[in-house]
Amino acid sequence: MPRLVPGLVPALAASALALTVALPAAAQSLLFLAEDVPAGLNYDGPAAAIPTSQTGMVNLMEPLFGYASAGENEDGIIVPNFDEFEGRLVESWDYDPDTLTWTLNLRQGVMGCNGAEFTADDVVYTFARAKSVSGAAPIGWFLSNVASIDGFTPDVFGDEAARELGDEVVALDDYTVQIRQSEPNALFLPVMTIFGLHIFDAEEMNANATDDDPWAHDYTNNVNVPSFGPYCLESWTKNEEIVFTANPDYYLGAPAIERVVMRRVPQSSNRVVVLQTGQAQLAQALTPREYDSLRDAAGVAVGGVTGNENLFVHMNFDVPPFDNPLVRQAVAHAMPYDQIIANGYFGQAERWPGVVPSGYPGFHLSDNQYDQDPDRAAELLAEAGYPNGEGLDAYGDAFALTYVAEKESTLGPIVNAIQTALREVGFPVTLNPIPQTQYGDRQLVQRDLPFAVNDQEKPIGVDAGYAIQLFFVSPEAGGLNNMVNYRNEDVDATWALARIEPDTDTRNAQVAEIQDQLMADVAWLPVVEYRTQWAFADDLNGMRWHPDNSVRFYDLSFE
Amino acid sequence: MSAADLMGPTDEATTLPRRKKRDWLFGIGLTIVVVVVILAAIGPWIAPYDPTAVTPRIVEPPPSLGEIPGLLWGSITGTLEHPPHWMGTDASGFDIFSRVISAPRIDLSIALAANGLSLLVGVLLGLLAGYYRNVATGLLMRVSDVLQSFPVFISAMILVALAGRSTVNIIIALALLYTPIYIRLTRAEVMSQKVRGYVEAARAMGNPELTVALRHVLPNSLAPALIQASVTIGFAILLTAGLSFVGAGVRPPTPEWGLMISTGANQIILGEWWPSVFPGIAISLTVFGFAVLGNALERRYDGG
Repeated sequence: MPRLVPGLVPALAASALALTVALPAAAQSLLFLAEDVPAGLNYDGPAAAIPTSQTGMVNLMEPLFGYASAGENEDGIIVPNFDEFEGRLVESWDYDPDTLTWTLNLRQGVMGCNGAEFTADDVVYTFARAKSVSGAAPIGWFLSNVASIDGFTPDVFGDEAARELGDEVVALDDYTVQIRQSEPNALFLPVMTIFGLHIFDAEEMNANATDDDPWAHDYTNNVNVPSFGPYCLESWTKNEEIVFTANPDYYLGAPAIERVVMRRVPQSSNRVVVLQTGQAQLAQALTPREYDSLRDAAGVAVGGVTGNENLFVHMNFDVPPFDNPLVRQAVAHAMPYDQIIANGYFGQAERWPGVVPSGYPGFHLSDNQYDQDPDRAAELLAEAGYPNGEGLDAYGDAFALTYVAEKESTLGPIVNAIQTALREVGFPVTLNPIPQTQYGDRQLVQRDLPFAVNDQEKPIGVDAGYAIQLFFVSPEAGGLNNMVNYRNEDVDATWALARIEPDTDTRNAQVAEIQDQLMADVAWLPVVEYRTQWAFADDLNGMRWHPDNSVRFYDLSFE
Repeated sequence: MSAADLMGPTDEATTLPRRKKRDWLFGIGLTIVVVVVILAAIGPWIAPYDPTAVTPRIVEPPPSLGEIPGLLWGSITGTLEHPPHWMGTDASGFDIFSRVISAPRIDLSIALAANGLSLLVGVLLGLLAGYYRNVATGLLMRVSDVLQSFPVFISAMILVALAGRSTVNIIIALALLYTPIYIRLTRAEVMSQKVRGYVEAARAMGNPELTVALRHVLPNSLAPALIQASVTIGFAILLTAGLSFVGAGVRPPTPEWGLMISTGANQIILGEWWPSVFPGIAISLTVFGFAVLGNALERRYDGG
């Protein structure tokens, strides 16, 4: 049966939405529709892990370092060159391997939104704040720890004196800073590009500090984040809208787009409708089918990259029967990979052959791969003591496949395909959609999710070792987000060596060995790497992918 | 005294079929309800596909009217590669027809269980509240008033959110919300019955008060609650679907109309109307059927 009056429904919906979505005021302006607006602008605050909060931070703040461009990909999206760093607030730099010290010569004449000039004091303030671990989520401390900056050890959580910044980060003069590491560590520069160490305007931060809140967490959580970025905050209403205006004194030149309105439109289909009408110029977080529907739409372009977004199946090592490697391998062989790519992502994803983004330095293609093979899955299940799944019912809710309910339109087809495929082998899988907040709490804090689908973990630090430390190293050895409770002494020991290995080839070999082990153990069950995409007006130029997947409005301009 | 007043039970029974014939709406309602009940019993067995297993064909539209005869013939002769998707498939590849005809089992089960529970509790409490007028029954009525003052849908959402998303919790939540209706209806009827002569006669024969209430007053006070039950079942189905629509109902991929409408809603913007329209029609017809049946019963009870 033909579709019922094609275009009629979108047109009606657009008419209705037009009443609620107004055009940006200025000609050189952008209306950006997102699933949410920043819930906070404090990277050490409770909203730091939320992608739209990160979008707010990266457009208002400025890093010390960034990645150079590697040109455009096949979609016309500019991608970074992970082998080449460029100074941002740093003009030039030097590293002394004998003293493990970085000397950063800062850019002069950089002005913030409030008229303050950027100096070495701002850098020192930023690291002192990170070391204070005074926020709800000490991301600045974690990144400094990952980069082996001296003194940024777990001691800060037990010893108040250890939270004081010492001589590991010092201002030699107004435009020179020295940072000392405790050990050689290749992650120093990659970490400095991450939003969690962007630089604050110390003067303005201190002006908004209080006795109870000396590091201005309340201010940055709820009011503004003063820095030296390309945009300044014009207004911000949580759950509704945030408006950015160009910083005319931005050191790389004033942004081409003077005003950006980022508006919350929770339903992705509504974002599609408004974009099609031309009232909005940029939209993100659509479903693969919606991106497909826009590819041929007049005035709209769709582009993206296979960056670091992925989907994997999480099996908790502390919850039987997932403590049995044969069961994990059986699940891996029962997984309908091709069906997920074809029906879940409409071809906008690729099979993920590892547990580290395949484009990252240090990625290793392991021989331990798991293709869909129901017969092999059934054999493994029988070998594990559960022929045809007999006996698995005893594990109760262990096979309740949990996923984020708010992502039903994207994840629904995927979990349904997984459930059908696994049931055919004998796994008594049920589906368990739960709210995002509950999912996050159980994944990160309780770590008690037995069986889950996860499409929201991305290592922002562009390095295989960073991902390994973040997700797979045991907490005792410095792991932060080991949500499946994976513990392997060999992995911890090898990472301890790789972390401080100065020779790139040797380090890569060590990191490859770890990846082989992770794949053999099915530490995660990697399924696909999906494309990070945006839909935007076809006269909008300069779309660029950054590893945090947040759009930088400074990159954009209209023809 | 009219002729109708002179009619005994036998006369009433003989006029009932004639009334049914006149009430064509009653016939439609009854037919719908019967079909829904039959589907609740055998729907998943006669469905051409497993309603909880995906097929390889995603968002396949339903066949056009011109294709239907050929597909019917192919189904009969067994020459098709796979059974037709009479209502198309959704974004996951589920056969919508199989799910639409399987859904009454869960929708009707929840509605019947919730109604049965609320009817049982509501009638007993209503009997107590109407028969014994004291502080305790007064308090019971005030609690009932408070429960009824909250919007039903919002209350159901909160209760399910607090108790957890499961079929049993949905039943309990709905039963809790519908119980005050039955309390109030039964109480009013009991109050009018307990002053009748047959009650006095029962007392005069030396029956204890509890026996009078249960054996004599209760059977004569049930009719309003039973008529209300038919209407409430329809609304309970609607409420169950509504809870699923907002993500507070049954868990996917349970075949349930509200859940199907919710899942398909996002596809409407892509021109794919069938994943949500067919379950929408099914739920509309079902609620209509129960409402019409309840209406007809009420008219009959009122002598209309």
